[in-house]
Amino acid sequence: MKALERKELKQRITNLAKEQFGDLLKDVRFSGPFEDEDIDVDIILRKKIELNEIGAKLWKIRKPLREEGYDVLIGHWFDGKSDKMRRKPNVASVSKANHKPKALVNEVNTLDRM
Amino acid sequence: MGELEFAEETMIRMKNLYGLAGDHEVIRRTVISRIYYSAYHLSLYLLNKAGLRPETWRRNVHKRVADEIERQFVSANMMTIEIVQFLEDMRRYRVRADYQLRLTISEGDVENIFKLFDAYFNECRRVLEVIA
Repeated sequence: MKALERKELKQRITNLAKEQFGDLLKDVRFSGPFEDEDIDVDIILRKKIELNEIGAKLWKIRKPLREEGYDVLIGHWFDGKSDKMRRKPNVASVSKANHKPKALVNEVNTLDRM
Repeated sequence: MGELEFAEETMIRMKNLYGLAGDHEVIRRTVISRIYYSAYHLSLYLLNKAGLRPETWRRNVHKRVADEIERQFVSANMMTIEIVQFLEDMRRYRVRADYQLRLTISEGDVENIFKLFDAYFNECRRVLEVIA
């Protein structure tokens, strides 16, 4: 029962995202499809909240769409960087930042069982 | 190597790899992809234990796996729906990492998928203990 055109589907998803996340919602980005899904959606949140809460809210977005016959692949990310940073810069302006990820480095030694 | 051991080992090795070379985006994309597929194989294992044969499915298999995990385990109150959504969230991370080269995959993305996987893995292991 796919009744909505892509533009309408995007609007419907945006409305559902606003319902669920309210002021936490920074943006909704659409892309794809890349595989079998109808559309890919990224929910961008202003700040971190509990994963369980995010899972529950994403489910409340996906469920009605699934019932309407849409295969919508939804993920999230937190707005840790500005949009400008998130999009890749032009090759000419790329500087080779050379920094190791700080998180998990300490875990390497304790997890390495070899 | 069994699926549970494979999932656990993948997590450990990917954390190692990320700690050693996660400053490069190719590594971050690789880690995300491997972590998702580890969760996917774990899901197939759960479905096999529930008597299904996902290896015979041919169309839209990844979505069907998530839907069947929900049908088999959420409907039976053995798993929460949030956990199933984690699998879908990880799949979206994987699609972004594999296809969308113009989007930056940040360290935060990798750290987030590690958290999603940890939660999913622990829940799957708990369910496996119940149904074994």
